[in-house]
Amino acid sequence: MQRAAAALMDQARAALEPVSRLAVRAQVDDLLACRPDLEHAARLLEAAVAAMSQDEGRDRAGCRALEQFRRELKKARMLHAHAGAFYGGLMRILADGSEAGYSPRGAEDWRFQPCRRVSLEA
Amino acid sequence: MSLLNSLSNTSTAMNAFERAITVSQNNVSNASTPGYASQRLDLSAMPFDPAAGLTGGVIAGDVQSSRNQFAEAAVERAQTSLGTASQQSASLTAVQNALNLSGADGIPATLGALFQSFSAWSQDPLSESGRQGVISSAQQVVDSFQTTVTNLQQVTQDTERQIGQSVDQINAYAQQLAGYNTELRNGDRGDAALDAKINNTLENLSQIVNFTASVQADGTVTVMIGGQAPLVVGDNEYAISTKIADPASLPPGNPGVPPSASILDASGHDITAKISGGSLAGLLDTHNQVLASLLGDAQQPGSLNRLAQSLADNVNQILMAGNVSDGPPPVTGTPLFSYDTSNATNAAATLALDPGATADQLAAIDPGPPYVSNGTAIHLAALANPQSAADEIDNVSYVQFFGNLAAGVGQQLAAATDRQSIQQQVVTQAQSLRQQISGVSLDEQAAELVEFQRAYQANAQLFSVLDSLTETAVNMVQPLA
Repeated sequence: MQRAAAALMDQARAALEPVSRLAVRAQVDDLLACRPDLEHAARLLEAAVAAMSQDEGRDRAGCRALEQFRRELKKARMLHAHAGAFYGGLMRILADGSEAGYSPRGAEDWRFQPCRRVSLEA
Repeated sequence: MSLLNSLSNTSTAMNAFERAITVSQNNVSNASTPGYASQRLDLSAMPFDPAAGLTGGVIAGDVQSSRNQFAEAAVERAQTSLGTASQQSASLTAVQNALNLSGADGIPATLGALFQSFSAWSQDPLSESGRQGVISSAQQVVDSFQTTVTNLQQVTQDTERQIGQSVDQINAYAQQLAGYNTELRNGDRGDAALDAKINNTLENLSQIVNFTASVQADGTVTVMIGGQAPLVVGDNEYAISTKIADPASLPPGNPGVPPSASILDASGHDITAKISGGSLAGLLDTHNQVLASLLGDAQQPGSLNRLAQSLADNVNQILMAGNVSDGPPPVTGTPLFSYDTSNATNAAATLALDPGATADQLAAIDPGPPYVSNGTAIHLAALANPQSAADEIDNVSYVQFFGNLAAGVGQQLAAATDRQSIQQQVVTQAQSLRQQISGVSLDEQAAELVEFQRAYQANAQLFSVLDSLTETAVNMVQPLA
């Protein structure tokens, strides 16, 4: 693996690190903020793969960079999935509690009923 | 990552998830609970580094209330002002109705009819029907004064009853708050429902009386009426009471007038002056100021009594200066009205036709000089549009004097109604502000979740791309390994 590919791999891994941090907080703004870093990481990784395709050689540093990237990607994806499951659960609660037609399956089932009120239980 | 670590991580995440569910359920269930402020659970990340044995995950922190004390105080202040204006508007409407401005049997109408009867009598002083018309009109004037006084006394009694009810309600709220403070001291400090009850009770209290509420170090709420008189301190309630009596500090009052209404604290001290807001302040103002200015109190005879006394004295004086017949010997006139001369505040209530007043005893002749056969009747008829200060009261005619006192009530009523309208808007705005800060918006929560879901799905696509690229890279490396 070329040194350039390894360097790109390291940069891609570095781009994923803020994604992991944002996915832990997992507010809406955090998830929106993940997107530029994910796109940046994808472009870097794409460049790294392109560089690797022109290279017949390999080195330990390159393999280590790839392994580290895979680990970072796994972590970020896990935290992201965890956040998604977490808010999916909250959405189900809203759907059951408010009877307002919120759907955990997506926005297409959105049915806003402004006159619906929830019962009072202090 | 070991299995034990994974299980631990999962347990922590489940705990955080469970607490978040509880907070969210509380918010949704109490979206319309009076006084409820939405809650938020602080989540924080644990270090994640499998190589170092740090398993990451999410832990639940403190539950934060979104209650904003400034917003609460703004709502309470607005409610206090609205309570005053609303009560003044309602009470002054009752006073205005009692004055019966437009009715045929009201004081303005009967006074006008009396002066017209004097005018008719002056045109034919010997006419029996003209004389009877004067007696009949005078009786209607007497009736209108007595009816007006009775109506105003009824308003006074109603106001006193409402003052007593307001004080009872204040004490009931104080008892509730003292009970809530006890629960707080017993360890329910983080209870959102209890917090909602306290703030809802404070808002209800603010509609009745002005107060300051402060949260103590132990979480209990201290309430001071007017910022000074204790009402609730810790789990102790200091009940206030009503006293309907002549103020002891004033000179001996006029007997028979409505006594002043006072509010006493738990120690018996007069705190009436500290009550400047809420419906109780409106009631006290109506009772001790407006009604007192009409019916009298320990310091003043009251404008209605002054009117009755001045009218009776002047009519009687004019008639007694005239002659019924020329004689000889000439027969002097008799008074038309009588009233309780021993009590200036009782004139209107006791106004009556003089027992000696009969149609044939009305003196139409002004002996002069110059002698005028209907001079007294003409003088009495001129009271409708007086030409001399002796026939006026406060430099205006009798009808105009009553019009002025009624206009004073009407102006106060109009001002109170305007304040009520404005304060209603202020309350609405303050409540809206508080709702934005502390309220639970189901739409907002749902919209946020939908937005979250969209962002999640977009990110998930990028993760798929990254997975695919990584797989490609791995495949490129593995054959070489």
